[in-house]
Amino acid sequence: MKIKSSIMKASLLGSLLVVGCSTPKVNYVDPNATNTLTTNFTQNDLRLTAQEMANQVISSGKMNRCKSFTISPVKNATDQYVDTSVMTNAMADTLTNSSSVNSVYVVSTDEMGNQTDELARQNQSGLYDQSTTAKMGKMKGAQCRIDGKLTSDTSVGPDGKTKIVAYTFFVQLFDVQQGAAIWRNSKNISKSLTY
Amino acid sequence: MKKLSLIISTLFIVSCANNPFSSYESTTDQRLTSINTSSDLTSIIPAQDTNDVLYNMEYGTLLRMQTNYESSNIYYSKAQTAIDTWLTIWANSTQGKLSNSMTAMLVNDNANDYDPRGYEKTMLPTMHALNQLDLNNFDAARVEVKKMYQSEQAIQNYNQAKYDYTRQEEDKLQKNKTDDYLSLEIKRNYNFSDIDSPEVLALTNSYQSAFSHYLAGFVFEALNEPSLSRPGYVNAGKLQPTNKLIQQSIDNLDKNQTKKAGYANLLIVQEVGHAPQIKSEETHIPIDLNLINNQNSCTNMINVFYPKLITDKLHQPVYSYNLDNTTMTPTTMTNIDLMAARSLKDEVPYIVLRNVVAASRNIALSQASCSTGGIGSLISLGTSIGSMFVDKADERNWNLLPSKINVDRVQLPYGKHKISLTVNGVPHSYDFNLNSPYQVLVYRIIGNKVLFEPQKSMSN
Repeated sequence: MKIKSSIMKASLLGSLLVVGCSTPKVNYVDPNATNTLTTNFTQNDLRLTAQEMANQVISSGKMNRCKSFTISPVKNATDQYVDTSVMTNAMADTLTNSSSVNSVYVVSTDEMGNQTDELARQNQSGLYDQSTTAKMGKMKGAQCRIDGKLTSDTSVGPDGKTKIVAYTFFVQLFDVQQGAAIWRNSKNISKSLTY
Repeated sequence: MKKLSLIISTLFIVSCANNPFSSYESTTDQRLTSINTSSDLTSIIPAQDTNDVLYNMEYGTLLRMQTNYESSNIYYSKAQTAIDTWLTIWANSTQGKLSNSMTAMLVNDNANDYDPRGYEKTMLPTMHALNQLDLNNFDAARVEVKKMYQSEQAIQNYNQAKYDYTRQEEDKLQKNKTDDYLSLEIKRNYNFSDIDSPEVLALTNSYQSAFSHYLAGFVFEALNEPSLSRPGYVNAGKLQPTNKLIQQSIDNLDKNQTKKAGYANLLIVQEVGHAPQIKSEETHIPIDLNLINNQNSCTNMINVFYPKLITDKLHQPVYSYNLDNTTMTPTTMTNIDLMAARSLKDEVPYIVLRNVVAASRNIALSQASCSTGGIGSLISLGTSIGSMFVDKADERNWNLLPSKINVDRVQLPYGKHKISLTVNGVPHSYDFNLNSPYQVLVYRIIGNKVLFEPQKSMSN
């Protein structure tokens, strides 16, 4: 009886080990597909939300009040590791590539380091023919600035099994000289996870 | 014939890589003693090429303590590879296989491959990130801190699945009069003293470390990624709400006051002692099944095995030190002792369940023994050897992690500086050079030694 039991235990152990040995499969997936696997703000969420806000600013017609614009890095005020540079870039892409926007995109604070490095290299390294170099002091200042902030709030259902994360992406368009907000809007996304 | 098969199976088990009869607590005792006496720390554990995750974590740490960061990375990477497979299963689901846990119901935990505890899974990429920072490779450190916070969701999912499974099994136990009685008796006799303190209960969970998140914030800040740096500091602040350094770091980031020309933001990390050892404790509980109307039963003595934490008593929690001519006292950001205790506390329902399963089996055999007279002794022999195989708490853990991680952060001008401190009456000091906006100086106080683990660029 004892031996039989041991055999059964050994087979169970063996089957559990065998079950654990499957070959992983790799597939391409649609990068735009909705990811419902996590309550975190995914890259896709970031991109789509930023594009939507950029389109709203375009349809308001207020971008064309600005001859030039820049975008400040979107601030992440959530407790999640969200790379908001994806949002900053997605807004810049949408606004720059839109045929409805006459305003010119000029370098943001994030890009300024590389820009000044390049100007310094061309003008101060002594390596370049000065008649061909971009000159210092000719950069265009932005007439308008876009400012974005991502916030979140997490709540847990009374059963302790449902977690809801509500995100808000808040965007403003400022006239830099006047410091006046020309346009502002926000978009909410909520995600829930049930155990 | 029966005795021969028992001897053969015992020899077979002893020869296994995960020998259930060996005591990891004794092994770590010897190691900790040797750290004090040995000049070559890597001689304490023989070098091996193995996929054993615990070995790779321990050996990687010894190499780190010797400032052999490149080799340490090899062992940490091997350990991480094993954990990555597990993380993939649990990253987005609570439906993974709890096969290890289930097999442990049948056999001693020690016979299974080691499954690192939740806090060990987050500390591995943290220690790995420190190695990369010491090699001046902030980009590689970034990869490791991302692994750290991405693993947290998987650990939460796994813990949830294990909790649900244990609860279902507990419900089943309650329906069986004998098992329910055993469960109550085991809980009544379980020694909760080291895992039920207010400090342990105050932890948000067992696996999130404020230091790991703070380090993530620091790495992202150094890489000029404030949108990722802020959550690092915010999460650290949620775990350590009264820590002023963390709040100051958030404020500085928000005010864009993080850098000063010609100055280094220096993160000083003081690692103290070692993580708690775990000893399998045994307690004997008399069980009288007649009390639950199971007539004509013998009175049994069941053996209950539970893991007991043995914390590092040799070191004080925090050591003051002199930085140039200023006396500094760092603040504790992560307390591994508490995390280990919380991890064990979360395991208690499962540990009780295992003991009930073992006790039920032993009682069944013992009842047979008491009713069969002469053959009883032979069955008892089989039971006791079987019990050794089945019943023992898992003593394994990543013992070479520090007990406490204490942190300071200062802005110092580029150039030469000196850190000095006295441990057990013996003075120690280290001269270092600051030459970039973000730098890290780690040192480990263990036994009578202070092991400086500086960045490569600091010795220039």
